[in-house]
Amino acid sequence: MSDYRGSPAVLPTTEGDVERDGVRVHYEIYGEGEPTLLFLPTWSIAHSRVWRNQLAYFGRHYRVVVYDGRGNGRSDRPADPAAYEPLQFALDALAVLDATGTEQAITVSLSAGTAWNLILAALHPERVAAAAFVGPTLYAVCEPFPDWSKTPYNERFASYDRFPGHNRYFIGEHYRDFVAFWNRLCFPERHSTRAIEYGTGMMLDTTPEVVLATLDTPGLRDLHSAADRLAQAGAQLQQLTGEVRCPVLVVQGALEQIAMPAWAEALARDTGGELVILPDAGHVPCGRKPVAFNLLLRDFVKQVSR
Amino acid sequence: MIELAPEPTRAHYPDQEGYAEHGDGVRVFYEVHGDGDATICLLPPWPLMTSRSWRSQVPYLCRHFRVITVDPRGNGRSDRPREPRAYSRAAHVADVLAVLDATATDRAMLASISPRAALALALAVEHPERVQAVAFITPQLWRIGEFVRPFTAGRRERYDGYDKFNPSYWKRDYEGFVWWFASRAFPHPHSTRQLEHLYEEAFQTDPETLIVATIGFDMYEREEALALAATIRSPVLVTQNGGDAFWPKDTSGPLAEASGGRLHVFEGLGPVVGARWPVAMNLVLREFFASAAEAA
Repeated sequence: MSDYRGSPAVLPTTEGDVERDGVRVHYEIYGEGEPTLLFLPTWSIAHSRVWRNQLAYFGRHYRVVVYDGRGNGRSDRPADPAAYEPLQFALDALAVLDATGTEQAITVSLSAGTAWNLILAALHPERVAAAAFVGPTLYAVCEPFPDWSKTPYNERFASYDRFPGHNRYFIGEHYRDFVAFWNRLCFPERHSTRAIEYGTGMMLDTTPEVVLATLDTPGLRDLHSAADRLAQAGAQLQQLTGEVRCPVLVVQGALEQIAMPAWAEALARDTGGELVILPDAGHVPCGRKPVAFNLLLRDFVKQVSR
Repeated sequence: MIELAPEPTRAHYPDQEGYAEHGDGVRVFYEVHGDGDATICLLPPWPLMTSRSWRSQVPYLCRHFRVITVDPRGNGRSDRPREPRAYSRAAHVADVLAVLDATATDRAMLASISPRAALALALAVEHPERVQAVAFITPQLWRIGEFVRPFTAGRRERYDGYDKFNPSYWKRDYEGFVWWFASRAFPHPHSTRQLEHLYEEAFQTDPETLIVATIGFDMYEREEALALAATIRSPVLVTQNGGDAFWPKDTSGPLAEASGGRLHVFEGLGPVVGARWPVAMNLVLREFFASAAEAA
């Protein structure tokens, strides 16, 4: 994994590993001071470099803790689907907070990270000063569902041109095609070649077996399609939002192709949070529109740290 | 819900804009950015491009200097005369002087790109009282075989590579020419934005205009150019892209030597450093212009 960081704008102040449940997770700390921002992992197709455009900027102003989610980067890649339940990701986050001596943090999640960010904010309020959710994919509390989620998950097709999306065989047997497809969905903005290259690199840092393990967690593997999984996740997560007491920011790109706009609206509404729509941004505004995103997140941090 | 304002399409909008002319009935459009003590005039490029080809320099430089840009005859918001003689070097010199007059600019520091080095040289030697410094970016001063041979080769059945630098081909397949030129100007990954900008500029004009503009602009002979360069009294910077050749590189070294100017080579970057690696270009330009302004 020599190309893990590329040529970074800033190097971590400290880095280390924390082991929990037999799985080792690698974390990094940038900068110092108050408060601490905890940038959470997203789906294991990416690792902590998904936040590459935040580290230098926020490290200059605050203390930043970031870590590779299990399944990618420099963290372990367990084979057992049960290891990829959202609760496991939330427990990893608590272990990283403990290992880095962080009593409380402002948590920031992207896409699938919605789940563990909500678990932390709702069930561990003493550790979360405020929570920011970017492109909250798993808060799928209402119709309509995106096209990519409607592909039958367990059916093998001769070609996936007409059924690109979450499909066991598309991912398992045509991983490079799935990677290309998913990155196009993530980055609908023009001039995204560099962002797509980074996204592709991270997806190739893990394996299709790991990606399938994250989708085959207990209770999900037999469902018909990703839409069914999303609906189940949305229903479970919605029960948590009533417990959230901290300030919440929800950021959604206006060009989103992965998370539906209504989900971001619902998450802001259900948590009493603020919703900001970034024009000209897709699913990953932190990567593709870093200046706009960083200024917005910094305003939120200032507002909640007063 | 907060709706943020849409992204501005320009990083800096002009503080002043207008048209200048000098009696031949052709209006050229100019913009003034910033209000620094010293003025930089970013000279008009070959009219495949417009003054917007300086887009990555203007917002930075105008924080430190007053910056004037000029659309070339034949593109942008300037007029598009259809006779070659309207595109003479002398007509371009007069355009720039008219813009300096219209903006009440006694003296300016100049930057030229590629063949418009001949315009910068003419201004510096013919009007030294108006020129405080000259930066020649990837200069060409005399006609270059790679471009002259295909340009004068007449009509062909097919046009491969440099053959496309040919007026008959431009008329037959202008987009094919623009694509060939753009893909050589920006051969690196992650250049989609630069390619798009070049397209936007190239399609504001048409092949007929580009042909008369290319025929009409008189370049120097090599010996004449170098002899004139030796007479420049103001500070001179010559920059040359590194990397693979597309723009010929045989001018920068002799020009720097003849003028006693500084040669800066962007190792490994190019061909179009200012658009694709603007930070590298801007730091070099700022350092040069700041020292030239201080010396004056």
